[in-house]
Amino acid sequence: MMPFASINKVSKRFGQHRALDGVSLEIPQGGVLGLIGPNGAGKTTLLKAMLGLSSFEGEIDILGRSPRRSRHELMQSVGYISDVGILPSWMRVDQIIQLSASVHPNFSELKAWEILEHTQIQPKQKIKTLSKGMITQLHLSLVLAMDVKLLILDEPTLGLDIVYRSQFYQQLLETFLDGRRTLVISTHQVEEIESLLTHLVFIEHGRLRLSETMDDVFERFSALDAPSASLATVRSLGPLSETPTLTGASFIFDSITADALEGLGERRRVGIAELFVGMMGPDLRSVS
Amino acid sequence: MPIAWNDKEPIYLQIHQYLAQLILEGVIGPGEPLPSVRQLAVEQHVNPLTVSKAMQLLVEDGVAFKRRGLGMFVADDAAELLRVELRARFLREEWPSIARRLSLLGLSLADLLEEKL
Amino acid sequence: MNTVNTLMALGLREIWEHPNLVWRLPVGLLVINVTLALLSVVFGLNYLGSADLNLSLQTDVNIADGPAEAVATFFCLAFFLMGQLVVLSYLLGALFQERKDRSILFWKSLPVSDLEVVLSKLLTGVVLIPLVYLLIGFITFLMVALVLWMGLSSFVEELVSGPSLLSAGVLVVGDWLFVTLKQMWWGLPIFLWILLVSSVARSQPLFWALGLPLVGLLIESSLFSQTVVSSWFWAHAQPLPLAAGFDHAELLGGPMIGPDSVLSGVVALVLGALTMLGRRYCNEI
Repeated sequence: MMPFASINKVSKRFGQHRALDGVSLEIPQGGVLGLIGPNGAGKTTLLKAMLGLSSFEGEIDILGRSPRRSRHELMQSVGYISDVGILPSWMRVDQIIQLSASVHPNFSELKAWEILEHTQIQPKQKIKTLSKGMITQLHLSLVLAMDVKLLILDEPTLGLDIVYRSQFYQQLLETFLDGRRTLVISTHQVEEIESLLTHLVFIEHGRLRLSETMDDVFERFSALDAPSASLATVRSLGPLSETPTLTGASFIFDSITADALEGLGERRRVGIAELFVGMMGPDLRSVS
Repeated sequence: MPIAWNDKEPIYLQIHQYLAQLILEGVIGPGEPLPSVRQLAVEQHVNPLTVSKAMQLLVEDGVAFKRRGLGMFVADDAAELLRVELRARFLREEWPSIARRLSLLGLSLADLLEEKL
Repeated sequence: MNTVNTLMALGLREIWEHPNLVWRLPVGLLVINVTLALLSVVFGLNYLGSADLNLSLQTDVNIADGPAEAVATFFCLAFFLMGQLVVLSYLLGALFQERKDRSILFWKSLPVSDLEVVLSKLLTGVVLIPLVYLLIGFITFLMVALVLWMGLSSFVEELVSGPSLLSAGVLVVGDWLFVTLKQMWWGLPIFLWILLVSSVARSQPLFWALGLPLVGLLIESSLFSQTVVSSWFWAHAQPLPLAAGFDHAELLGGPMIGPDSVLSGVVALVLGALTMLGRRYCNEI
């Protein structure tokens, strides 16, 4: 697949602080890329650079365009939802739909209203009267109606209860993820998107710590649940991390053969959250 | 119905097994259509590409075939093909550890058949 | 998407966002005035001097030829000045509010260029609002005049007739339309200065919009004997009727294009370009 979006040695400095440091990434069409990292790692900075919302060093190419030079043309094919409620609070639901339709060439009012039918949102309601969950529902219906090729979500479900969160991903799956449309999502709640991801990116202090397809991640990393009896032996194999359990410990290994772990415990697929904690260190608890 | 995922195998293989089961049990008969990629993806809450991969495996094994514009269908000899393949896999991957455990427990096959029945 | 369509959609957005400034305020003033006129006629209040049947406004400027013209001029001038105040207030918040409440992140996720956004706000402020106020001012005049004349015609035999009332009003509004249009160009440098501040200020835009030019005045007067730049700025900051001294002929006369207009244009262009940069790079506070 042709790279749909490519990020080449992108850096961003705020005074002395390096928010992004030489980040390079390629996103194929149809990819669902999870951007995981602790607070302040640079996730939002990277996403804003991709959207032309901030200046940066390096090159970004999305659909053949540069967000620096052609932001407003790029926005015909790119959608964005942020964690903070950015929809204008004074607007009414029907007004924001009407306006989006008048300025966006691909916008389908029918689709937007169809999606909203499954919610409690009323057309004449002002956005400031909507709950956070409803605002996210509305924003999602807008970007889905825009029929974008790339959707960028910056912690879209932050602060939402489980019902809204689950409904959000369900809607995304039903209407957006068709294998051709591309999604980049940054989130703390890794578990709920794990099954949707095709690519995994770990970022810390502005640098990428991991950038692989999910298939490669599961091939490369293995988890082992070992009983107390085998702990010493397992430790001698050089695991990436060790987490105590009731019966012994769980280990994560990078690039180890199945034979090497034979008989030492239960081998299983690594979980993304535990991989993150394992790679980034035990004191970073911001990934649940 | 949502598949109960295990944490051992890749998801796409588990989906493949799920579909294989449906075919073996006759839930989807020969010549009948498989569920659409999108439908299955939404139902099981997984990426459609993962579902595609599972279905692709079925096609490669000759268990299913694609009809342009219409979707994926179960082959006439699908059940038999699957049985052969799953038999081979069982013997190759699952049987050895079961055999070991049987000898550990001091059980023979004759004992088992009597017990189980 | 067609730029004209986009501009119209954005203009509609401005009207939706500021209904109070754009139309509720002038309509409210209309209602108050018409009500006062009605009450005047019914209860004999002295609205516009109607109790004394003294409908010619006493001013020491030769703007009115008769009572109808006087009343029309009163309303046109009042609504004009009110409108100009509203324009300043509107422009001050135009590019500031959306940064303050972070909705700019949404606006920038739409396929709308910075140029289109800045233009839409500029046109709404500089063109739409003054015209709306002038129109409502004219309607206010007509309605008030209608009420007063109808109410008073029972007391006074010889009074202005209906059609001549209308024609008097139309003539005055015609003059004021010309003034309004001239004002758009006259005030453009100041309008763009305010819009620029709106786009880059991190807080208290009013403070910066007024403060910087005042500081400029101070510096210039300390360094030079004549404050050329500041005087020019503060002259253009006043609405045309005030700057030109309320002389009817002076107000309406004068060339549309002259050396001062060209200078205004150049300054406006420079400030406009800076505003565009401001909107492009200043996203969050």
